[in-house]
Amino acid sequence: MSTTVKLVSGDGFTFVIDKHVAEHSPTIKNMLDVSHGGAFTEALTNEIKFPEIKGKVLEKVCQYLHYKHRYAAEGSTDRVPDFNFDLELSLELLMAADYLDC
Amino acid sequence: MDLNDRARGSGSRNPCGGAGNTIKGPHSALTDYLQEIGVSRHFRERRRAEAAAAAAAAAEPTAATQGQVQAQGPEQPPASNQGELGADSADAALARDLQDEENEEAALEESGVGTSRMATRNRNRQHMAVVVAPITEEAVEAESSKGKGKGAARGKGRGKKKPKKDSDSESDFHKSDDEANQREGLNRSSARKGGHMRSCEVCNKRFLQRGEYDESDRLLCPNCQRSVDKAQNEVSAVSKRARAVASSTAAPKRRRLKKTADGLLELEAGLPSLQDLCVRAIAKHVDQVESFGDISVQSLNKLCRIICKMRVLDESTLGLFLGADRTSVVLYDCTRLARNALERIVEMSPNVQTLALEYCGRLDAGVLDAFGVGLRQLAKVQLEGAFLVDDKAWAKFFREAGPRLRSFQVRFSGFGPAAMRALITHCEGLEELRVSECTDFNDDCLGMLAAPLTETEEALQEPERLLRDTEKIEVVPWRPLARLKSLDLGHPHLAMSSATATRVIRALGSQLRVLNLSGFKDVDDNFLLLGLAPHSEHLQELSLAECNSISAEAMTQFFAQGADATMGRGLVRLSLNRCYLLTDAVLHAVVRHSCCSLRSLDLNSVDDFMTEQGLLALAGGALPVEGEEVASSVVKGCPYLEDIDLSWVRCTTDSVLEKVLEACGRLEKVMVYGCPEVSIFAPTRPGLSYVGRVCDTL
Repeated sequence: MSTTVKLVSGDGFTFVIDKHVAEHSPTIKNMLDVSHGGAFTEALTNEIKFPEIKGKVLEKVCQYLHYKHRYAAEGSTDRVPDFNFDLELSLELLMAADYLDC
Repeated sequence: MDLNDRARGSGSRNPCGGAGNTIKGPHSALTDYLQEIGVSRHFRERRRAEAAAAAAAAAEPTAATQGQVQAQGPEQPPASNQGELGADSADAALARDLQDEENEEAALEESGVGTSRMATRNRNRQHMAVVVAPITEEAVEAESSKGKGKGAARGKGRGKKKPKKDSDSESDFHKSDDEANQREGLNRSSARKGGHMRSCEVCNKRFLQRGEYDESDRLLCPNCQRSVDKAQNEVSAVSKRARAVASSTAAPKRRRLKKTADGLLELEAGLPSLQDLCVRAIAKHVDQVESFGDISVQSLNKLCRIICKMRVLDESTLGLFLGADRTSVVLYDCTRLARNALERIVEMSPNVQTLALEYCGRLDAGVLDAFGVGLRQLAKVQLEGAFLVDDKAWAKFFREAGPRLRSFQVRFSGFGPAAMRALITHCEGLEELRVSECTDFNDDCLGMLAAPLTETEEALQEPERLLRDTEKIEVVPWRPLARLKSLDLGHPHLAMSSATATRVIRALGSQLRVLNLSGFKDVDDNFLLLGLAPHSEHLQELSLAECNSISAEAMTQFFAQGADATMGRGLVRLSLNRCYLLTDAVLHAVVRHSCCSLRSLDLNSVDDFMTEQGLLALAGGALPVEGEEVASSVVKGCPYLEDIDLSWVRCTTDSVLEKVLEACGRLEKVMVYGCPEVSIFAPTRPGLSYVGRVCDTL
């Protein structure tokens, strides 16, 4: 049972991140869920393809998932740095974030 | 407030500290506020430090004292804790302190940000330390546990360091402030303390700097300071471990206060989501749309959906979807767009041809007028929820824009007789009409679609004449809507008579491709057989939902008669939603009528007399009529069926579904709300989804 998951962008970039980090996105969590009903292919192969998300955007999403993993549980919320991204990315990032619900 | 401070202060003297010191006494609003941002932070940090110490105590029994310095947040490397094994001397502690600070400073240098922030924190710590020292010494003596908390050691250490930096004139001032600080009720950044206004070196923001200013240190505002702290702390793996420990045992997360654009402090629960961050960034830079790069129309539409779903479509984000080159403006949630925002649509996108606004409750007569006058290319209008617009306003709009309109759809608006008359008069090119759920839409309005009966001509002309009261213009006589192909009058709020409906359908039926008469509760068999049946040659989509006055026999006859003409190529979409009285025979007839064309079938709640036999017709089990050649296509059922709604048709079972699925290879969506016999073992295949199965609920 591996603890990492592979996220593949539409233009062929692959990002390997921890499962715990990836599961901060409910969409991904449901894809990898094996608890009830049948497991999706993604859960069995631990690889999720996002044909509509570009590599740059998926990279930012991974960074955000790590940011969330790092700071979401922490008590001292006033020391959390801002999460920054380029303006050019923001529209596509919004669409990806909406899809991943994160 | 002082009372409370003292109460808290005395409570904190309890060497056990921790959860025991709940605040007692009256709470003023200010107290609560301070508690929220000041005191609670202190407690939180203290508790966390205690937890960290308690965890470290697994290795060595070090109890954190209540004299824990406020500035020592979770970032403090507990290495100092662990290193304190046994070494009680203040000198050793001092040496360690210095060492720690040097380490921190060194790390800071490496991270490229100056040491001044560290120094600022040190300075602040020192302030704490002076006052902390006398108390912690008592506490240490009082405690029996060996080893000392960081606080005591640091307090002593700092106590020694302090005089070096202190300037005489200010010492008293600061000391008294520190004493004030020491009272745990008070936030470190309370306004009472005073300080100097400085400009941050990194971000140039002005901030209030408490305490002393060391010339050699870099001056950084709290935000930059924190970023540096964080950056510095990322270096230390030990601190990470402590943080993990601390966070798992920490008190429930306090909410962060965030200043919104209005200057109001807003409590932010947790981390902002990525969607929030993106929308905020977009909203802030809406003017620089060019910098977003090229966006395709579909992406823009998708974006609009997302922004509307998040309920953040307002003046600032609206600009993203407008522009002189836009021919279509589709906004899914205009609740936050006030009058002037809606009028901006006219200003910024005067060339729109398609305008679709949902939830546009704030759209009033004035805005509608602006649309009519300003949007010269407007061909397709869809307004849902414009309840402020009344009859006359619509009439005026049609006078202005009517000749250009090709499609007009409105729901939940004040559309009434005057508007209808104006529509008939002015919108000759109208191809698609939808007036749904409008409270003023009455039988007369319906009647206007058909040629007026002589005795009611005057009455029909009346609204129009009233509108033209200022000008004595000849009222144009009635003309039919010759181009109308799609008519949707679903769910009227007032009763529609069957006779009027029959008249209308006789006039218009032959040209219609789409007809929706949902909610026409009173249309009866005559309408169906004498009105619709002879005039439905081109009909592709039919909805007779909730038309409960139509009997099953009439329905069967309607489809049976039509089957000869259509040869199985009849309707594409059929909705018999809530027609409770329909029987199996109806379904058989439907299949015979439209088996080769039917894509979407809605049989929601058609339950009273329906049995499996009826449903099996969809799978090709149609009963042949006596004497009639059964067309081979009919035997196969409805092969093109894509979505079917069998909610509340309780005779639906797994085996029926199996047969239906076999015959309908293209079926994608099956709605089975309220079908208890459809279980988890219902047949599935890739591409097919069940909606509303009982077993699917969590």
